[in-house]
Amino acid sequence: MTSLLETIFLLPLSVIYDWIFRHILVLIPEPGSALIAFSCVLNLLLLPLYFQMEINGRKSLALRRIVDDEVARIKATYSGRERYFYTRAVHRTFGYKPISAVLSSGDLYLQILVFATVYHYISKMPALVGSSYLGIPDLSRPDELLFGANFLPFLMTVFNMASALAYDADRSKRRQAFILAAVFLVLLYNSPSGLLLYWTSNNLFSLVRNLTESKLTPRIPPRWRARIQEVANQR
Amino acid sequence: MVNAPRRVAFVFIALSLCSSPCHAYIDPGTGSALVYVVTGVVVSFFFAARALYHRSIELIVGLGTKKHTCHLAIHSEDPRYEITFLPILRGLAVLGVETTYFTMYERTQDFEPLPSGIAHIAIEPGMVGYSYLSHLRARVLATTTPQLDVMTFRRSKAVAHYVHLQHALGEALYVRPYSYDFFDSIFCCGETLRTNIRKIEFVRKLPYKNLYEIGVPHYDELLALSPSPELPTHLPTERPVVLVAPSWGPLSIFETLGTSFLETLTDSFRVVVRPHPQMRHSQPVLYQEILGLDKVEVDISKTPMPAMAKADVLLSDISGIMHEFAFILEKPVVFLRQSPASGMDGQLFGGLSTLQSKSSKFLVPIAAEEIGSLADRLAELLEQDRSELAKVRDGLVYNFGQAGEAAARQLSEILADHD
Repeated sequence: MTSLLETIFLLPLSVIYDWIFRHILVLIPEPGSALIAFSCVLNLLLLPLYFQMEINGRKSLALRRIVDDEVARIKATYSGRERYFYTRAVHRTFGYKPISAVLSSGDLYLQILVFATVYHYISKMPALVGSSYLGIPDLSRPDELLFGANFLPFLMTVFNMASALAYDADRSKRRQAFILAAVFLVLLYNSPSGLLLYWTSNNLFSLVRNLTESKLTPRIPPRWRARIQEVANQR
Repeated sequence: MVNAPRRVAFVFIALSLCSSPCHAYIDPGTGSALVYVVTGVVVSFFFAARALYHRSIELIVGLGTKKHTCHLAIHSEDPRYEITFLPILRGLAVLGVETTYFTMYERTQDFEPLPSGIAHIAIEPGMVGYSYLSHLRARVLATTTPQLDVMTFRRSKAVAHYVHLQHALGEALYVRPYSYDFFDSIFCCGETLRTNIRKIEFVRKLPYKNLYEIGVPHYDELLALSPSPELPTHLPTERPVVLVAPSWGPLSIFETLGTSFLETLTDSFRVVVRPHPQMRHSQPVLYQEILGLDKVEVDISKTPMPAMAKADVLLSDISGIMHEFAFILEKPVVFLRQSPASGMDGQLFGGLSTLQSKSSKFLVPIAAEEIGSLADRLAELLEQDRSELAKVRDGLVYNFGQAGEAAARQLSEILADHD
């Protein structure tokens, strides 16, 4: 099953990644710097997909807030069977289907697919074996820069948390992002430093994108913002 | 004792030592979207499981249900709504509309015979009966039962049009959620309900329903039965009669004040208590307490008119009887001011009752803390000038005294549209 999935998804995407990375290596022969450039190129290519995901997410969130308010009103008074039927009526009234979040997230799945396949591609990248970069002796192994402990997982997490702070002012969403960052810190702690260099660059890119978005948005005239929102809603 | 940061550090180190490789990494935006999708999966699974459970019950209950076919179906849930349907059935018989009257009770000899040409079918009460209705084939179904397609009362795919009729002069303030939302037409009792429903449609972004100016059909019946307002109810030497006729449930006057205030009233009035019929099923302990009260008369007769006819003044809460007493018998009413209970659709209107504010001269509100002065208020109202009552009533109720005919005509027109 795993090999079938690898054949369907990993192989075609690996060919693309390899083509991109080889062209980068021509311009930047140093594998560590090439990885950072590779991260930037992939992120730029994914940018339209990311913005589409954001638009979909905000529209879904707006509807979900209305539904959640009405359901909270029902939950405060009714229980059991009555609560279930009224909640169903709320969903019907506002055209909200919990499953729609799952069915209408093609852009998200594509994004995750890219993340997953890039992981596999970089994990098995021969160019990293024995390559040193900025004091890291071997990019195919954990960095062990902090007296035997790894430094890059922490740097990656710092950027990830900073990016979360810039992403959303909502406390619950920030908390959720911090938990995810902590989980990935644990999961990726012993990963090859080349891979962590790639994710750290990714997080830095994400931080810059979120900061740019949060600083730029208030400067757009309200008339233009409304027009952008209108176009986004039409899509 | 290990403090929190150290405990977190310990957990982190332990997890790091046994960390296994993961297969992807995501940024906060993607993580947030992913969490949204995962919660969607969990909620969908929960709803699918519950829907399956309720659907299975409905299917089991509906096994072997006959699919009856008729032209116009009229559904009565309880004998107390007979008085609403009879004037309409008479009107339909006059118009020659082929009608089947479905009742969730047997119509025994005690019931008034149906007009000729009206077919009658008694169906089971509760879920079995609603399952029968959800398999019905008809062009139009009219009922006083609210919450179509919300709980047990499911829409039949073979009924083209559902109509809701009002069994009292009400507003959407005190109704349970989604009472009217999924009907095709509402026969409105008055302008207030019409405005309320339009507001609900606006707030919930629902398509506009057909709202018809019909009125309250059972007022036609009560008007025919009621004695002249000028007729005395007692000898000048006797105490005036106060009828206490509350609603049932959390907004009932007895739920708010208990029953002890009645004893004070008996000093100045002859007190007749008429508990709401639903109280016997929904609040049996309170119902028994009322039946056992000293110094007061308890009226549990089938229709409220005899008790209303002998009373001089009415004390109530949100019950529709107060409008009947004020507008048909033209006698004064005092009612306990209640805010809509949590979860009712009245929360959408900020708890303000238009009906109450427009009729406050003749239906006088009293707060729970003013109950000590109740006897004085009732006595004052007995001397009230009621010359403007008809004007107020006509502003609040459509087709006063002719609502049955109006409803029958409208049903006939809706049927013609579905031919």
